[in-house]
Amino acid sequence: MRILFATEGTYPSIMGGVSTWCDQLVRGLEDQEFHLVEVTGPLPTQPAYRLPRNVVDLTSVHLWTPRRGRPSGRVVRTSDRFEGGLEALLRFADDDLVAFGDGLLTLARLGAQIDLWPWFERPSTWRHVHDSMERLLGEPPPLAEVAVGLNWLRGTLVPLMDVPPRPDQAHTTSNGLSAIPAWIAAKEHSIPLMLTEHGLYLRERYLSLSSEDNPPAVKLLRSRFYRALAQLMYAEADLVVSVSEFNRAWQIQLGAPVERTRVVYNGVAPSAFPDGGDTPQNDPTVAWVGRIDPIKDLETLIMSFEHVKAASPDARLRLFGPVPKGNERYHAKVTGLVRDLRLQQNVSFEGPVTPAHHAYHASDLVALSSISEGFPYVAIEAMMCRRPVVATEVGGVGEAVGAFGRMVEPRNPSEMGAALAELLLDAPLRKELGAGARERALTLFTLDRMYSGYRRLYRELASPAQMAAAS
Amino acid sequence: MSVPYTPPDYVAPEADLATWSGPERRSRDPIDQLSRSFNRLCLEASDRFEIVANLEALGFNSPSALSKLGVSDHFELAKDLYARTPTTFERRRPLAQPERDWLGPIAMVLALLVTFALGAYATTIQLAPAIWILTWSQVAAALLSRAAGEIGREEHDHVLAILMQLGAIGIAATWIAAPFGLEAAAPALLWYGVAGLLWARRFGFALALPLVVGVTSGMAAWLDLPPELAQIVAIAASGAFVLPLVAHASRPTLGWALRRAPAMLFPALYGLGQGLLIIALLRQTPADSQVMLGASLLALILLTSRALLLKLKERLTSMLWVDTDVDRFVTRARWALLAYAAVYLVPIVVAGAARVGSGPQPWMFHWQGFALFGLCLALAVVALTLGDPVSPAVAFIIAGGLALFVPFLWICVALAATQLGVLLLRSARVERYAVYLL
Repeated sequence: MRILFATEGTYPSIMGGVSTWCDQLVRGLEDQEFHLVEVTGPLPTQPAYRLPRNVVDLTSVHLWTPRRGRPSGRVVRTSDRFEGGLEALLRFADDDLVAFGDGLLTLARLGAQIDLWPWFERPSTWRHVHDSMERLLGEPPPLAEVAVGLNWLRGTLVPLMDVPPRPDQAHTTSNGLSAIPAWIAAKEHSIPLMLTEHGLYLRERYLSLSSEDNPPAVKLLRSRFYRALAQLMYAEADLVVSVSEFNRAWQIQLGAPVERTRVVYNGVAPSAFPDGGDTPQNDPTVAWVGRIDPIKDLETLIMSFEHVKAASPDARLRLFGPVPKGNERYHAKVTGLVRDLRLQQNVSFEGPVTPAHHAYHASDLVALSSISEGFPYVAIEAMMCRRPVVATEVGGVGEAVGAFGRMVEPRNPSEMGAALAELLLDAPLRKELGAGARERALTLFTLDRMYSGYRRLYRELASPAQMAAAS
Repeated sequence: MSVPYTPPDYVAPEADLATWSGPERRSRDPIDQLSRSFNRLCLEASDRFEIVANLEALGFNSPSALSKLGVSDHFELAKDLYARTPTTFERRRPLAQPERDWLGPIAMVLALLVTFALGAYATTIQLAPAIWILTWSQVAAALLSRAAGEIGREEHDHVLAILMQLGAIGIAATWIAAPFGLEAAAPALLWYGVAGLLWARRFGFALALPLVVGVTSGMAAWLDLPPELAQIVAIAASGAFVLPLVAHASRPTLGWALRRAPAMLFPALYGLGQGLLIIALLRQTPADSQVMLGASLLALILLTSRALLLKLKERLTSMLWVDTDVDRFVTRARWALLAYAAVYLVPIVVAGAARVGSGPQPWMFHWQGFALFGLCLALAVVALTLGDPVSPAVAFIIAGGLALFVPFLWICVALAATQLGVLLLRSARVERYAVYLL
């Protein structure tokens, strides 16, 4: 089966969690033929992953870049089609998803024939964008905001306005810009569309829009565009897949029909995270694995260790993970906190460790203190290594850990400290939870299980003719 | 140790909550209290889902956290928060970054003065390297500007190396085609060196190079030494200073630079047009004229032009952030453009007044010529700032060609008038240039 597989800012150019998942899926389903469409930044990059043989081709869509080599098509009929398409597309400002979809499709068909870049420099395009921003804001926006909004629309939309060749199915790995080529292929060629989300694209856009200093009309334009796009895809995708029930709640809130939603958990290879046994460490040890980042709320974890130290003075907290660029101040803040609380003998920053299972094997249990998570690999990797997990009850963490660990309130050091101390001091309980955790991971969170889940979903979407051809 | 929860962007209210008597502030309802701590987010949320996303990011999504607020679902909580808070947007205009680079303009002006003091430009052959350097520097500036937007900072040195190698090859090729002497090589290499050092942000070296050459030239004149001494120093110092830039690896970004080559056509034409105009000016020089006063005026114009351009840009940008009506903005923008151009007319008016008062003087030809040339350059950079590389390129190359046959001052008047006209017309196309100003 030929699958159009659309990604954004991840596979195969950029390393990361979602990219790893994509690579695993593509390699694991070697009987499928993948046609990658990668939505990426304006610059050509070298693939960070070596593509397997079943990836037949890779199309890179560079945002903010005109699509050269096409005529500008300045003829009357084209003008009507462009104006009509743009006007319809901008109806997302009025929450009109049908018109928004029609506009996207019209512009994509036009973009397959001509270069739309210069069309965004026309006075009529300015007027359309101005009017939609005025409707969103409730008052005329300053000209600068219209200029920024117009430029954003052009840089984001124009490179994506094309009709991909016909595959058998389309699969987008996020509900953002990569969904556009997949959806256009599905509409244009009447093929099924699958949408998988790891984090939630819309949620991440909201968070970045809240933290950026966007002018009001620009912020409204962007957030409504992304919301309309997400709602259109949830409404029209044949299958909406998420990696946790927690994320599924968002999808349903935004209009995904419940009967079309599915959950396929992420998986890890048991061979990469072997059984670490249940022999206690010399000193009672808690491991934390991840990048040093404010969202991981290491302050709570470090403060919780005051409680742990009171109960077990030899207890150690080993923090494994890199300090990403830009997080140096946060790193300094948490190391300062360790000093202030006089925990230097108990808490250590170990840096990244390879292979990752060494971090889990060097501990008695694993802590996760994040204030926001999707479905963290750390939890299932720890469980696969027979380590119970003490984690904050956020996102899909509870679904991963199940009954084989302790869930605590986020930002509550005393509750987390109590849970850590309980498991560190109670070896039989820890042993029992560790065994259960490994059993749960082997049952629910293996790569093979993930592969079979997606094989089933592709089959579910395939037409009988495709199935016959595939077999 | 328990820490009370405080959102990262929490801003303490100016009023004292304990004594505040307003109805909302008095409320002890936990959702009202949460709304207050999320003040900015709730006021500026584009919809309830933005509040949901931020609630989740701050940990307000676990059943235990939500139960404290008496709600079971954070989507419902966000809906409640959104409904309780009227949306009001605060406009936070991005602040313009103050210009701190003062060494660069000084180095450029110094180089210009030393160039005129150092070189000889009586023949076309002597002017050949100058034309190449002007063309090359426009191409280089355009390519480096592209590199700043398109590739990583760590790769810029490779791009600069390509440009420095191209510059050196061009000078060598020009010499093979029209063998010039030290008097033409020295100023060309001085410009080449200063430009390269400025682009490499080696401001100290960029300032030192014309200073060393200028001092040597002055000493040679004072001690009655041959003028070739300063020329040799210029060539040797330029070569030594730029050698590390030329020797830097260029291969990693060669493919990128070649792909961008077609876009360099207009900068090249613009630079070539400048070169042809300079040839015309220097070849049409009357026998009794004084070039240094005019050159000093051009140096002054170059020194102040950046500040004037930034002022104009800031004025137009401020208007864009305030005006909601295109017609009103266009009218105001045209007045701002006319005021900008009028500043450059001051030296011409001064020369005109002097002519009326005391008749033609030897300094007037170059004074007026360089003043008009400065005005043309000043108008061209406005066009480039507004995202139009075509108009200045076409205007300069035509003017440069015509200037070989028509008196220079006439050509410059026509060039300035044409450019101003195009700018005034183009100012109506806000949709085309507004984004370049922001």
